[in-house]
Amino acid sequence: MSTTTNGSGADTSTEQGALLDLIDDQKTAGPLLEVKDLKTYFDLEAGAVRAVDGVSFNLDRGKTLGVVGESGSGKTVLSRSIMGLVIAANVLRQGSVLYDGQELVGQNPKRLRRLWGREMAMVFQDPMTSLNPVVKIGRQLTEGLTKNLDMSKREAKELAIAGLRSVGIPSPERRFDEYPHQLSGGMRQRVGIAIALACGPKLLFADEPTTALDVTVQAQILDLLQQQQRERFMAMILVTHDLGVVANRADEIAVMYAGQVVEKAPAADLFAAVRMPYTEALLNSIPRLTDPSHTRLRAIGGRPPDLIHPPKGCRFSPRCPYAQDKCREEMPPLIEETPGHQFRCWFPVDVSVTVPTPAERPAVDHDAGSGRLDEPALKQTILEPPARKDD
Amino acid sequence: MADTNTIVQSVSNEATPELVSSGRKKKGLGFAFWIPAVWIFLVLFGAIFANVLPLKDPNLPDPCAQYVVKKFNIITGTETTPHYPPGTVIDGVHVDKCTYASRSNATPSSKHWLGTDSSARDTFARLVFGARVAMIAGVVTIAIGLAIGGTIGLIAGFYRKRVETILMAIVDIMLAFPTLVLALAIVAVLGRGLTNACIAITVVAIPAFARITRANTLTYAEREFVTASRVMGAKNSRIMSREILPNVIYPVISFALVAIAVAIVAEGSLAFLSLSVKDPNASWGQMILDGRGVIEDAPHVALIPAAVMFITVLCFNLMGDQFRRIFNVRDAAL
Repeated sequence: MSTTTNGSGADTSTEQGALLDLIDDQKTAGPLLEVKDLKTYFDLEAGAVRAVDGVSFNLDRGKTLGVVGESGSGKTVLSRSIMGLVIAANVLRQGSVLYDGQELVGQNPKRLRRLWGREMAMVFQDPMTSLNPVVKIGRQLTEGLTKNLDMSKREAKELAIAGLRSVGIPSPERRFDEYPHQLSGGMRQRVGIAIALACGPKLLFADEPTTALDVTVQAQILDLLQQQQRERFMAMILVTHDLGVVANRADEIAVMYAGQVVEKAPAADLFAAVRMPYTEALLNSIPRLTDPSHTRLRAIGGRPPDLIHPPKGCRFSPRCPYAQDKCREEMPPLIEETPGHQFRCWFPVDVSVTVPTPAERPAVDHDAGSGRLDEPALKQTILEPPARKDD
Repeated sequence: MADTNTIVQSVSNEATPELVSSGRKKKGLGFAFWIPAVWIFLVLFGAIFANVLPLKDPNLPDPCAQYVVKKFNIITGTETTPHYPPGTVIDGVHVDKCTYASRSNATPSSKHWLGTDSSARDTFARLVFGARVAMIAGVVTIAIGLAIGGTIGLIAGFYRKRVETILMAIVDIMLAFPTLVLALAIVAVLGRGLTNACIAITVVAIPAFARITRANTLTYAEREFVTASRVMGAKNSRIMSREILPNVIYPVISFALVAIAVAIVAEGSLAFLSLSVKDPNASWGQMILDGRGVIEDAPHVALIPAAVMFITVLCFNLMGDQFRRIFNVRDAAL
């Protein structure tokens, strides 16, 4: 590396070297990503839309964080805000995002661009739209390699074909010269993953990577992501609205509602002891195989709140079956009762806490007693849900 | 039984994949594409190789023309008193061999395939050289207009905000002028000649391309693949040239083919007003102007160049439509 004679080449290589040294130094120190009180507001005429409102979390190297929430809960904006993708004149971005010790909030776009692709990359929701329809797959793949890593075209092509093969695309040499519309949806998402992984990022954002895909392909794509993540020791933020997707793939799960993290816990802990009524409602809304046909889905009543004028107290209070006056008046803080398990609720769902009797909980359509899910009952609902009493 | 068998057979024949696929192929590029394509190829070929082709001189009258007047009854075409005995050669012209076909405003004959104009110049040769003018006026102006207008539109549509406001304000001002009047004004200021006529047409073409490129850029600039490319570390210039441009270019090219037709007509109009090529050079519009004086006695002098211009313009329009159709089909398949 130091033998480069070309002036500009030497410059960039030392710069890169410094960057690499920095990364090496911190390899074992601290988490890869530290997000502290990140806020992302969109300033509209009607007022500021609080798409992300004070989110904090840490992500260690090689770990997976699952971000779960309904549409409009701010999970996509969160991932884009962390990357610094939502820069526009009307976007207010506050807080702190430390990537490997580097502050990303307020960083100039040129420095950010150097991180994109090489350090962090993204897999998009819909491979139909995230691939350029009129550009060959090969060129879309090699673009990052030749530009970011200064590879020759031939090297890049070899690497790209290897990348296509590693994401499970048969005869990658032929696919290299094809256009996106010549591939099936699942194949396209595999290409999307290959593109994201091309430059060897340390942090991968997967923004609902399976939402646009056929159910039969979803598991394949998720398994592929997990396998690649393990092989590359890459951290991943898996954004989804499906708790089932993250249940056994994430190390930690953050449930988002109206721009806030309302419950965050290691995956096992979360399912073992749900504290936040919203998480509980999400879990209850998953249809069960054992339900008789024509069973009504246990949907969460109402709609996500208006993010310009969010409810004064707890943001879930208007839809929460257990909401009390205090919930409507005061915003609950993030409470950490057991280490690692945070939730934002005055009256958490738990056996040990007094909660209203079933009679006082209107509009909840589920099994008796499941309002307070104790551990075995919850495990049962996920893995082997009990037959629903039909009356 | 036999009847049903044949029916079954014919049905199964119809359903064979080859038939289906060949039917589709025909749908892709039919006569509506190939006939205009052949015509445009011929016009382009003539325009490019006009110098090399074995044509009569387009700018000089038939050498016999001056003697024809004396030799023939101009109304009936019968040979009058033989003024010139056999073997007479004046200035290298075999006067005795001069035929009635060499007169001015002559009808098509084996000597002059498409007749002659009012100055006894070969119409066919003038049409071929006129094709060169038409192609320069059509293709070159539109290519330059596309490059400049397209760049303006791409930048305006991609960056939005103030850049867009300023660029589009300029474009709107340019659009507000009546096209031909603006072109006339430009030619009036810069002077007569093909170059100035071309500059005028280019200036008129720029705003149209700016608008259409901007409109298409707007639809693509917000697409996810642009974000995807940005996430991979692409710069704005790169996103514009390698992600958006390949998508935008198809509708813009199909518009360009139609615009070429408009530009050819525009050059013809300027030539008709004696504002394009200088005499004695040929231009289709100028040839129509030439035939205008004898439109009653010899209508073919004006009608032949008019017909050639009509067919060429129609072919460019048809090509544009076909291009758009193919483009749309491809878009729908996505």
